[in-house]
Amino acid sequence: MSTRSSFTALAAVLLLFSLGIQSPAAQDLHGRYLINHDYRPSEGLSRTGWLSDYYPGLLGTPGDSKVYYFEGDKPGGTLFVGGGTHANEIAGIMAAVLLIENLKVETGRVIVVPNMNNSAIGNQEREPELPAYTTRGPSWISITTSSGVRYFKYGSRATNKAHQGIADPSGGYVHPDSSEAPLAGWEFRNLNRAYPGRTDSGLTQKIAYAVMQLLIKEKVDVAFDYHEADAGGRLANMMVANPKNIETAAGALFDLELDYGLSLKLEPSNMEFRGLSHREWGAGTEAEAFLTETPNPAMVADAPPDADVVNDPENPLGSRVAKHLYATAAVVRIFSDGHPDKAIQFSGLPGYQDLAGNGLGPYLK
Amino acid sequence: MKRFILVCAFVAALGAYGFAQQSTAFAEKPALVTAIGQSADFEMIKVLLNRAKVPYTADPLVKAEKLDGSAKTLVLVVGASSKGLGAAGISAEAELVRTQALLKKAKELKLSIIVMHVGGAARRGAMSDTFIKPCMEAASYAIVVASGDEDGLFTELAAKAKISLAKVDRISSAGAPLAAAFK
Ligand SMILES: [Zn+2]
Repeated sequence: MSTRSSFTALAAVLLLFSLGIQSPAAQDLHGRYLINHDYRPSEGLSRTGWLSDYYPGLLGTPGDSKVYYFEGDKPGGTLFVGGGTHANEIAGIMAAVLLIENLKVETGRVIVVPNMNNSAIGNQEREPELPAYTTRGPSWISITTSSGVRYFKYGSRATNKAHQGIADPSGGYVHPDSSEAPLAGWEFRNLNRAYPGRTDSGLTQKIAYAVMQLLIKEKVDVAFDYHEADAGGRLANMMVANPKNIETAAGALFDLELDYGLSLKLEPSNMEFRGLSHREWGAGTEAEAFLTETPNPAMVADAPPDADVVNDPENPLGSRVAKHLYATAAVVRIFSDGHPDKAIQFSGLPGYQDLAGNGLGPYLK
Repeated sequence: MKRFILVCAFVAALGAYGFAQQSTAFAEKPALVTAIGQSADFEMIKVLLNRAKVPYTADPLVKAEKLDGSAKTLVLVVGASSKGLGAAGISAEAELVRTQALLKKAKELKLSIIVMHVGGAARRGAMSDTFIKPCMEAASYAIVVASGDEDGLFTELAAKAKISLAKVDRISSAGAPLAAAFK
């Protein structure tokens, strides 16, 4: 054995040894690259899973994300709630977290993914090609609860460039099924332009694919995607509904006005504009698909870098979270009335005015 | 002088009050509801009619030829949405032509026409206003959310057309005057 070949043999042994302790079979890869978000589920939690359960290609990637399942004693329909599609839209994330920490389901099931794009949550790089509002905001927010001060991650609109795996298209991003003009290249990393997703593309497209598989496999009946928009802009305080379920949305918006004095605008999905959750979830799955937008002060075009996304006097976080949750509850009530066999009933949420007035602190663990 | 102004103000207020009330139900059932300008407010008015138990058919793009007298009241949900027009594949000009033909046919058939403008300031502006004007000229009654009449356009058009105008603070409050308009 020459010196050279014995070195090769030694290297091979070392390689086998290292493979042995890191082999995928021996080690749980779930969440390998993820922030360990401090979410403290209610006793109503049945189990947790991962987006990668629906598309194994996400396993061990920064695009995987935890899925929380709440199951009632009585059979019924299934509600899906996603927060953090855009990780700078913190009210969507915190509305999902508030659900996780308080929910009790009596009839049917509720499935919650608080960080739909877990790559975007750690990504606040000020990329020059992205508009300022997409990354503006604190790195973390803090909320004082009965157990002390808790911290929640605040991220950016887009998937981390380093995670996407494929460079942004230089000629701009065109959804594979779209006949519209190209969007900016970075929109390739916008989860809400990527549905129904694909497995042979970037990480964002793979996340979208996994979410679609979840909606199909779990036979989701009602699906919500929580967003925020620039306070004072056209989108803020809006519910967008797939045309097939716009009547459910309209009924819910009436009830929100009558019950809480909350007025949200209504828009149907534009079926020509491809890749958006409410459009593709509604078209590609059985689910009635909705998206809610609340006003985020940091997303105003000329907002200061230190805009207060928690204690804004006009749109405090509690009021924005309350809008998402009560809009969802109103839709679920209308849906359940119309589909008694697929009813969804849950409890545990703080009152609308309590949450809007007191903020999240008293209602998080 | 001061007293005179006060009296004038009182009389004006009384006038406005009387003017704002549609005292008797005038509209026959069933209704046909359409969207003038293709906004999603149309969906909200369908919910109002459902909850008021007013029988109706709904067609956002209904054409004059389709009016055959089976519907006795035309409910026009007025307000332009460029997104809605785009999605429906109809230009603003074509929508105005459809509207004018519809109003003409409704007049021939002696239908009652109720104008609903419930989108507030977001459903005002040059494009919306081109739809609002002809509809108000032909209307028997109008129900508007007050934030859409901050410049007084609806008040002025209602006075010109000598019709009652009900101003409400939000969409959900439009249900009562709408239900009350039907016999
Ligand atoms: Zn968003």
